[in-house]
Amino acid sequence: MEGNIRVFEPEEEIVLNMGPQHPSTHGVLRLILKLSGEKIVDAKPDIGFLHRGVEKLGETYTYIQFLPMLDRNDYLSATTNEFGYVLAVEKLANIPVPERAQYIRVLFSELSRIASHLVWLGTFCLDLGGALGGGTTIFLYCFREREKILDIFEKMTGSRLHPHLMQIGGVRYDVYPGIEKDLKEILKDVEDKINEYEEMLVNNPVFIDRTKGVGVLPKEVAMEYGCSGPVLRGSGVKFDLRKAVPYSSYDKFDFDVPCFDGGDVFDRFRVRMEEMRQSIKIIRQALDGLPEDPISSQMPVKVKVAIKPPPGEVYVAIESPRGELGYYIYSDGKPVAYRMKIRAPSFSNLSVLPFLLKGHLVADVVAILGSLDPVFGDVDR
Amino acid sequence: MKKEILKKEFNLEETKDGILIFPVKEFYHFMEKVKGLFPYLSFITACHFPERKEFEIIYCVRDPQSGETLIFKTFLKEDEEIPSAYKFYKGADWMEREIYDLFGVKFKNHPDLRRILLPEDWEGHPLRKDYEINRAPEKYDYRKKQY
Repeated sequence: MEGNIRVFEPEEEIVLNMGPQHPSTHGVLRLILKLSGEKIVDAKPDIGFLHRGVEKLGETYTYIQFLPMLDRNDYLSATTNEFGYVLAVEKLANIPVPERAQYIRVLFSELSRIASHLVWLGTFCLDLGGALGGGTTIFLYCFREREKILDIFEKMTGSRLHPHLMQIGGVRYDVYPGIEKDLKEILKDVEDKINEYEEMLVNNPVFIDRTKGVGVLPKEVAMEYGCSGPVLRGSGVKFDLRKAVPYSSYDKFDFDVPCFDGGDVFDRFRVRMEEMRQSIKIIRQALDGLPEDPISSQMPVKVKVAIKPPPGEVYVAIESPRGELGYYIYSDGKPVAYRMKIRAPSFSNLSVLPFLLKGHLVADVVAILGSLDPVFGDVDR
Repeated sequence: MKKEILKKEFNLEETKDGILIFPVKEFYHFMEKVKGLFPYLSFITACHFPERKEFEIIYCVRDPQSGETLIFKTFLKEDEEIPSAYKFYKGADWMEREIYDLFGVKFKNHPDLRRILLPEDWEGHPLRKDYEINRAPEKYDYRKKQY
């Protein structure tokens, strides 16, 4: 010790604590990094700061009461959470769903996907910071487009982020008159802007340097860790639940599954950009083919009806913006679930972080973490 | 159907929902076979049955190429331990830690069995059916730094 300055020996390892209130961790993640100079030797993520016991609540609330809880899980794409849950309960209790309701569900979960990916793009570029002259520019651009999509949610359901759009057996609200005109305008706008942003980023040498070849995730490792969604498809595994196990009415739409086999941060970025375009394609088809049906097979939940599924187990997974979001429900014949397991995509995607960080520089932590797109309501449940 | 191959080879029973039941004794042998057929681990979870005094440990694996999903489970007495699946799937690390945290099931040969979602000094395992949920929250005394 010389005065107040501690001099580190070369080769000495120091432990650096990052978070839980770090602006670039997208929530509350604590990372305990072991550093040798500027290189990361070991990383230990510490999660659970947002744990609210949702699975326990699923065992105390009835099936209908539990639905609004799920909007708060993955708070960037609330409708996809509901989507998976209602599909699982419908499969368990054999409740039919009218065609029109299925189309509305698909339409709004794809809108959620675009909104969620836009937030990801904005915050990811904000994390990279200097690559885009401060990075705040594209962040604000993305939020501008997202706001237009949230306006549609607000017009439709009355709330921007927690729409509570679906109910068991259908949807709660029918599309409002004039939605086609609104959506077509917005979709064209978003499509143009996405192309513009991608051009802006891909031709930026600083952005390329920060993302290409950083955080490479091999195929086999991604599968062992249970990564899903863009993280898996960025590693060259062409697996999308919308194509592999078509749920709801996804088999009626024509869309591609983007897949790149580099496995680095840049490829995960490209997968998400391409996914937004495919989502726009799906929404356009859903709008054009909207069938004339009632919007729900059940009574609206103003009267107290308890759904009592027969005893049994069911697992239904859907493709959320982050990957495989599944619900494993164990029913014993009561109106309350005996066991409600939520298979969160972010949880598995985040568990691969120690593997990815080893050997990288401290500056790359933020880029790699941002490319996994974790949402901590989803990780901690 | 790879499920039929496994069923035949190990003489397994199937529930009405199409979930295979395998005995804990054959864990390593069975998992090795599963790993060869299904390279993708989706989730591991548990379910507590206090009246039978046992847990069900549920595994879900996939084959990304064909899209086939296999769910299989095993029964475990409350005082028993189960081997960890970390040897076959690295992702089992966090999933088993979560089960240990919320159910109190212990895994043999797990690399790092600590609590993951709850604080390390938490008492009890919330997802067990005998966990008391209607009690008043504990007050934290900031001066004495204890509950």
